[in-house]
Amino acid sequence: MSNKSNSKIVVLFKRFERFWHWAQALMILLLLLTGLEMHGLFELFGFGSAVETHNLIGFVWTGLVVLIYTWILTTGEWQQYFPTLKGVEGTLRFYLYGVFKGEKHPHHMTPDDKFNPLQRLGYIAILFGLLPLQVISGFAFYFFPDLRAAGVIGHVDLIAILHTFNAYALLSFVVIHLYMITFGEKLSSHIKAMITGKEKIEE
Amino acid sequence: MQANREVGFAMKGKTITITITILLLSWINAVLATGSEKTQQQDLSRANMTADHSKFEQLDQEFDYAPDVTEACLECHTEAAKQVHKTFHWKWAAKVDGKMVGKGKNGFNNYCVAARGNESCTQCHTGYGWRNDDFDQEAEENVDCLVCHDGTGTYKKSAAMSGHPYYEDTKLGDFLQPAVDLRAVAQSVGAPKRENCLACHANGGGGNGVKHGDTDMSLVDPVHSLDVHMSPEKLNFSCQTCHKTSGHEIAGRYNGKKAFIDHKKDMGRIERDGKNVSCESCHGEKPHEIREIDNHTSKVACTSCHIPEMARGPYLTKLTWDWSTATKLKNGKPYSEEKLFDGVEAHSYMSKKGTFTWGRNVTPEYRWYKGELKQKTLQTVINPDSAPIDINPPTGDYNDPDARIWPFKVHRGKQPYDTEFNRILPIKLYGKKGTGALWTEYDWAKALAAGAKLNEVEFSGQFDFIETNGFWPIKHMVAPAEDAVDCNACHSRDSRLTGLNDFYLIGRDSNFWVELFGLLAVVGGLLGIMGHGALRYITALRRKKLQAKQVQGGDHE
Repeated sequence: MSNKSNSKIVVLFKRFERFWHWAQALMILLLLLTGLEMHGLFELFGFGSAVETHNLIGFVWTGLVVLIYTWILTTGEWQQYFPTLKGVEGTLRFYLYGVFKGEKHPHHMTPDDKFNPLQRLGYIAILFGLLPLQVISGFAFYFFPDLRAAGVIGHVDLIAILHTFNAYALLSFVVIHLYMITFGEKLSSHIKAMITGKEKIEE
Repeated sequence: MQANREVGFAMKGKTITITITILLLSWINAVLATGSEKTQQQDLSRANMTADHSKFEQLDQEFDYAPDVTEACLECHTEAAKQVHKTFHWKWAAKVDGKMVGKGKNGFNNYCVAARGNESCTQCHTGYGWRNDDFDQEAEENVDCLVCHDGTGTYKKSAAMSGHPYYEDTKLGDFLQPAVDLRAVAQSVGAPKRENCLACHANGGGGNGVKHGDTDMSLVDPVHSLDVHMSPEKLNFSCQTCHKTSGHEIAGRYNGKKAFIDHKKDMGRIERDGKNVSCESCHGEKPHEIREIDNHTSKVACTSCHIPEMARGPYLTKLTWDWSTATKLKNGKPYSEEKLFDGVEAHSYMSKKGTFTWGRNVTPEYRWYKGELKQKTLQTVINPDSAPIDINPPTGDYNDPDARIWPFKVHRGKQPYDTEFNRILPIKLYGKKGTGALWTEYDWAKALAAGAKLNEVEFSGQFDFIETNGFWPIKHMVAPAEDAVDCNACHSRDSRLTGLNDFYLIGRDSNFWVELFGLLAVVGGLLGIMGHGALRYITALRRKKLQAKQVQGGDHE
């Protein structure tokens, strides 16, 4: 359907970006599994092992998040996340209507503008909202006994509720995120791009 | 009770063997592991005594009256009786908030309710002849030295004689209790052995294991899995290793005295009043080397995790006691019924006492506790609408830095109370015909009237039965570390700590709105993408068909 001469292959996701994406994916998956087990929803690793694993991964993940932020800020990638309302309506219209009519995605992907306006909004909320909130509430959770001893906070309930709420929000994101990767040119295009970094884009 | 006696008797023979074994093992242990702190034996304390009491002339006599032995003891131990007179073992009461509370006065429980007026109960008093209120609490010769210091295991106090030993051969049911040989007993004295303490502390309430849930005759020789501290397999602690004694004052909780007063290691035993020892006194407050587990110790007592079940030995502990069914007779005669409880046979009904249930390997209940129980008295006005009535509830809550979550045996009773004055009523149980004793006359009105009179409480004549809870803190029978309570026993929806709701417990608790949000966000998300995906698939299929038709249509042309 498309003329081959009109498209070219570009590197959309850089090596470190791919690394942090997959490392984070693995860690969030494990954090969700262990965290929800600790929340009493199922038994998998055993409560004690779940706590140990969760705490360990939590600290490693915190380190990774710091690296991710550094990378995003120093490489200018932050511009990819800069929110815009322009095109939000068109993107929404596509997902709610156009896609069923066989329309093409309205967003033209380029290495400098790889996220559509909805993704920009979503990722800025996740990366700079939910993730740091989860890290911070996780730290408060971990150091709660010390905070209580120091008289800073008496009960863990608010921390726990916030952390759990955030966890559900992230899990919900993961579910939708996994579906959204099927919106490439082919079903597997996006996942391939996140593995190899390369995506075919139209000029 | 007959069975208990027989067990007790069998134990005496066993005890000698055990003692020899212990001594032998201790010696081997000492030789093999010199310098090891593991050897703290009770029996070496006897072996190391500087006096051999069998060599004392004063004790080499034909005693026919136990207080005479006491007088002989006091010839050398001049201060002993005065010391004993000051202790709870003697007074059976202590002043709490300006009021005397204890077995001796005002106190009650949901076993036999009140000791006063029931001389059979005073067989466990460390004295002779507490028959009624005329008992002379000041007389030094009334102190029973032998019940604690007997080394023969043959000294038994008689229920019928208010704490005197059996001076004559006595038939107790099918069992013949031989007359005590006071000379042999007097010559055997030494530091109290486990059997001395347990004779009363394991058998209170009418038999072995009835009361505590963590203190029964199995502690005479526990296997390691039953009690890591007292088992001869390893530490072989005596009672006094933890219940430090000094001048006959013995560390422990009782009315007016807290079970523990600190949560740190080595808090200066000498300076501390009472010298009570807690787990932390030896183990410290953070003994686990795993931060997540040590984090518990500021709110959870060691015992909560390390005593996974109560009554883990061969003996049952009593769980419920319903007095309201007592006094039923068959053909005009009292009777009893037995049943299997957790594999052990025990009374399920007695005309004398009512209906019981018993248990072994029982999961404790958990409450905030800071070493003190708020004992209600026979004068306390209760609110019958708030039954079950907590007789001696532990105090403390999450915000109290001194309180810990602690395991309890909660003994559930149903006992008589005055429906007019709303006060618990003591029962006259034991006595001759004409005294009103329940166990002789089987008449509630008479027994309650007599009990009230003997305890100096008013009785309106109107009574009924009310449910009550008796609290027994669990601290003995510490299990090996690997048997400690599992995380999810508490950190799960089906938590052991159900009911302790003044804090958020991970794994047990959740916020309704957060869970609802989670359900909508995750399940809603899943349903959303499934619907969206299905619609995409169907519309794509339809477009393909349409395309194919158009192509076909084109071919025809």
